[in-house]
Amino acid sequence: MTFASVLSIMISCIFVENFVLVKFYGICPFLGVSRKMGSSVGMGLAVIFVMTISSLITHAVDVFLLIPFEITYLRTIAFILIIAALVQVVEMFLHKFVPALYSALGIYLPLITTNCAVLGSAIVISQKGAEFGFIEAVLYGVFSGVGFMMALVIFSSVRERLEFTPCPKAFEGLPRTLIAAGLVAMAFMGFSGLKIF
Amino acid sequence: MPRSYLRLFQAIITLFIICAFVGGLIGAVNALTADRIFDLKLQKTENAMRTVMPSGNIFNEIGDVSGYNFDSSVSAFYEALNSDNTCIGYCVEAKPNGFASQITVLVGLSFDGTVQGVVITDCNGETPGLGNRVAEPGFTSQFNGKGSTLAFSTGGAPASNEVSAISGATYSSRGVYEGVSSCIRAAISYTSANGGEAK
Amino acid sequence: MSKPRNPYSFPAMLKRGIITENPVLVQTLGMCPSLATSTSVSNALGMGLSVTLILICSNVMISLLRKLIPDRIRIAAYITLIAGFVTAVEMLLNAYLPSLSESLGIFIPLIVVNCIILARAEAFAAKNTVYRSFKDGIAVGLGFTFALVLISSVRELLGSGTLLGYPVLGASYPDATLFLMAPGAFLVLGFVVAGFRKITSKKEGK
Repeated sequence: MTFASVLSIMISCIFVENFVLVKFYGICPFLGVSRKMGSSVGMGLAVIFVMTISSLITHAVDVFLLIPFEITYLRTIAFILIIAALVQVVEMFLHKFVPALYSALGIYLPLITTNCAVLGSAIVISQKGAEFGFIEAVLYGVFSGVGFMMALVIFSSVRERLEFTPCPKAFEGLPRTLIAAGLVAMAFMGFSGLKIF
Repeated sequence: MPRSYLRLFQAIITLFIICAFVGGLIGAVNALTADRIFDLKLQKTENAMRTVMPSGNIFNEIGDVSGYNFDSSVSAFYEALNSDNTCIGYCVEAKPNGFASQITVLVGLSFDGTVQGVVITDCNGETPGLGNRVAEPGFTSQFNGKGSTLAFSTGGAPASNEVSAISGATYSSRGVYEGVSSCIRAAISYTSANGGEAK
Repeated sequence: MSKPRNPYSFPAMLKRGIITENPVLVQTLGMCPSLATSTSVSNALGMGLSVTLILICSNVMISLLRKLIPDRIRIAAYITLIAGFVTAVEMLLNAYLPSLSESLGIFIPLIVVNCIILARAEAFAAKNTVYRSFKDGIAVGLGFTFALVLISSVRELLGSGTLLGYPVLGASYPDATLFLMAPGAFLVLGFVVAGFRKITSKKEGK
């Protein structure tokens, strides 16, 4: 594990293959919670937190259970159950032991189970095969989460301004949010092809 | 007290029924489809190999290639045998990085590393309409007949040893070029390691 | 238009699923697949019909078990069931439609977390009879398919000048590949939703 490969995973997850704006994982929370900067940060942190742990656990299950026993076709079902259980455990743990964090992230946690970014990252890691060891898997989880949060935060600041601008009635709400997202995604296309090796 | 036990019991039973149902369903569908999926995969590779090596009849995968110093993108190496069971060349698979994903290329080669044919077996991660056009014969047929002097050109008329990129899809094109080059080097080093022509 | 007498008659449910309560265009559920798999009409059809099939199965199963599943574990139960159906469909696609399953890729397993399916399970199947849930599955699934086909025809037409793979705009059309890429997906969906609203609000106004 060299510094360059860490950097390469980081750049690729955050910019080049940004989960939200390039790969379309996690669009629902992206459109749902990005109205306010504060909630974007909360949701982003919750996703980074869960994604890091889930990458580690799903990768372990994949390497030590699913592949040796040749039951990789159970991946989807195993991963989603792990993520659902994990979210529950994290929620209970925070509720009991870190109430301050719980009150900040609590309402976003249940939404994460059905956030396709988390399941998406687990599946992508499993598809990378032998190329990814544990460190790479965890890094991928962390940085994909960071990329998700960054997209949310950038977009929420766009949206906060958008709320007060007049526009045709049919475009109010979702349509103009989507068009703004398209423009932000266009900016992200500038990163494509960026590589560090 | 007994009431809460009853509730717990009900939860366990329900989950058990659901898991049994889902397990049965997946098991049944898997039994139904597993062979077919396996055959399809096998067939796909074999069809691709027949395209790049039309006179090949049997393709033997060389399992252990650690001694040949192949490029890291080379993912599989086959010896192609004709109907008389003599080795007529190689099929080499490589997975170079394209624009957004790994592209899988399969190359048919003679002993001296001259390209007989190139097929892109997977470029689904590339941009539709741009990057995934590297799979079109118009692009891949450029490689035919080229050898160790293969080079890449992004503009102007290509020289006789050059292949030109698809405009707007330079990264994907370069990825394919790099994959094919790795395959050529693999063929050459395999031949020289085994002392000239067929074994 | 006057209110239909029986809100659970099949035509009324179809109308709600496809037009007035369209899951994508009105309720904004299931955005990820509508953006990601709408690059061509054939992909969109494949995705839409797969989701429809899974939705019908999960709706029927959940409504069958609705009195059995305790409230506290219902989400876990739903997710397990849905994941089971998704895995089954994934294997069937792999075996019988390999090229479709390759081009849809990771978005087939991601149907598990498609909000439409879980939303219908929570909001409809858990409270209604099996037959009604079955009809609801068809209606909402077709609504999803309709939206996907609508978005993908715009994208395919503008992006590659074809529809279902057949050239429509002629060879001289310069492909606007932007529409096949991520920004194009957002833009097209935005305009499609706005247009859809405009048309349906006009109808309601009459």
